[in-house]
Amino acid sequence: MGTSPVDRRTRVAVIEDQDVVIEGVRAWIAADPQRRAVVAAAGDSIDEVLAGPGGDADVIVLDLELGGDLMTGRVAALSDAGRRVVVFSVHVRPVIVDSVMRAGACAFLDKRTERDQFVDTIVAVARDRPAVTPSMAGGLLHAARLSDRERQALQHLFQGMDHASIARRLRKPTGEAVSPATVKQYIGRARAKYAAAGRPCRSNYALLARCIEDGLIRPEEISDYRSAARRVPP
Amino acid sequence: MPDRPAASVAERYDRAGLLAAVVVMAGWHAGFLLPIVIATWLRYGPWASCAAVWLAYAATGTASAVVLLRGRGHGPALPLAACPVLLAGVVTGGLAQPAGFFGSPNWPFVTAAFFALVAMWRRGIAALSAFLAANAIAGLGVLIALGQTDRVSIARFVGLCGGGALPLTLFAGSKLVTAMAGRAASIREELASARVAEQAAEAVQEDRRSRYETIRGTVTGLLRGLADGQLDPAEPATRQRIAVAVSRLRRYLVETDDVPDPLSHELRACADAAERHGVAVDLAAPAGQVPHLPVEVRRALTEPIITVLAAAATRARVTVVASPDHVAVAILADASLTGADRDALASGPGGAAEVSVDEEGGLLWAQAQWTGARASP
Repeated sequence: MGTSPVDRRTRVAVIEDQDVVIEGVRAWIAADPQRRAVVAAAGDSIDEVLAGPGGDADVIVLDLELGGDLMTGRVAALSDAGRRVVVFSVHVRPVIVDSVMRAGACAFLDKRTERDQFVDTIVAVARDRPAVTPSMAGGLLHAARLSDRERQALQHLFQGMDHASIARRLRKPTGEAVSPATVKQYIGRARAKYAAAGRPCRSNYALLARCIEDGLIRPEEISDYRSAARRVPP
Repeated sequence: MPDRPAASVAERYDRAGLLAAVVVMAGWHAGFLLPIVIATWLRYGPWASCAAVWLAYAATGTASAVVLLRGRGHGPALPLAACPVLLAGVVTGGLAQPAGFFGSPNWPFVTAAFFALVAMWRRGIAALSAFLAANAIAGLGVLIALGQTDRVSIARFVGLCGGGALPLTLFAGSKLVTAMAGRAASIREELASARVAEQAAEAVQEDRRSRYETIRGTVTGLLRGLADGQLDPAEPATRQRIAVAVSRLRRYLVETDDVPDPLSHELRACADAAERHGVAVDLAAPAGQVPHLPVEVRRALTEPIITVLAAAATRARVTVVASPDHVAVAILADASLTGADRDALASGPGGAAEVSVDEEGGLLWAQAQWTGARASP
């Protein structure tokens, strides 16, 4: 990702009702050795944060539960408006992860266990690249038509392995291990298929366009998935 | 056979109503009409007595009662067989009266309505009304044939037809009582099942409350220790205690299924046990719907997890990936096993599940997989 043409820092708007978590997010972003991101705005209300300097942030990090209410209903409208939403929550039950991903969220981060993936995920999302966290992987497994390799890669990701460990387990027919870059490709393709079969919204289009640009998926594959999705009502 | 108590209550009421109608019909026919028939025979002879009509009605009534008391008679067969006999009786009875339609007791006209009430017990009120209309038309036909079309005769005839409202009222009343009894029983049933659901919800609530108390105890102790300086956040042991409390809290938040599948339930119990030994367990909710698994398969799937959890030093992630014919339970933990333990783990407890183990960089990964296709042949 170091060779990416996007070299300015990712601007993040954090919507979260606990100050201690906002402080934590600031600390994780500041601790990134490559200093890839910066907090543009933070607050406990979606409308207030987006009305201020957060209005043109690249990524919105949204705590799903604000003041005791679940914000699942807001994710679709934000995605339709072209915002890249990363949901950040303790509510990692598959039914909740699935509903926000279907609404058009770009990624889901488990508040308790996925701080290590935090910066990588928001930077990938800012560049419209597929980002899949372990908490998302479980839902993706059943949502799209995947190849065996893609399925295995997602399953191991869900189990908690990093790309290097997954690569060690996914051997080629010749017996040699695949590379971590190949694992990333499998997972990215699975994410693209999920987006292709999902709700037509601007965040999904942007992701698919970037995946085609990067050669991760071919345009004809997308129309294939769309028609498959239309045949099977949600 | 009814499979719901409410249906059987309605059926009992329906049967009681039918039995009453049959008894009244039989009593009327044998106790009241038979003496009249005999008296008329003695006075005017067999034709005027309508003895043949009396016998035909008796046969129709008996057949109807037998069919209905056996729980049959829902179709059109019984009314189609009974109605012509009854109407023929009305016509015969009208023509045979020695002194005109109203001269002596013209019982077939009134009695036919009661026999029809029984024959059409399992049919709707519309069928009975149709018969009463046909009965009235037949009676009117006889009246015209006898030339009794004067105003007084017609008025008496209309009054006689009004008697037909009685079986209709009886029929409607009985059906109403039956429906009400069925409704009352089904309301009682609903109340009972609501009570059961309420009790189950209370049990779940109680279970949650007791878990919450346990968690609160742990968290309060930690916070107090940190506040009064007895616990040092820099100490690895304190951090480990915090990590365990956090993962327990998290599990409490994630836990929602009121009736969890047995596999998740068992894994949760394993995780709880490991936490008591200071391992922070991240138990992910299952990806996919866990199918019903026999107990030996569940044991084969959880056994490797228990072994690795027991060897885990500080943390572990436990996951379930399921589809109708495939379940993979996996654990990734900072555990290390001796060669013998690893071999025992990989060989598995019974062969119901295929176990894989891998160790890398201080992390141990174990996975137990079950596939329905392999278990069935």
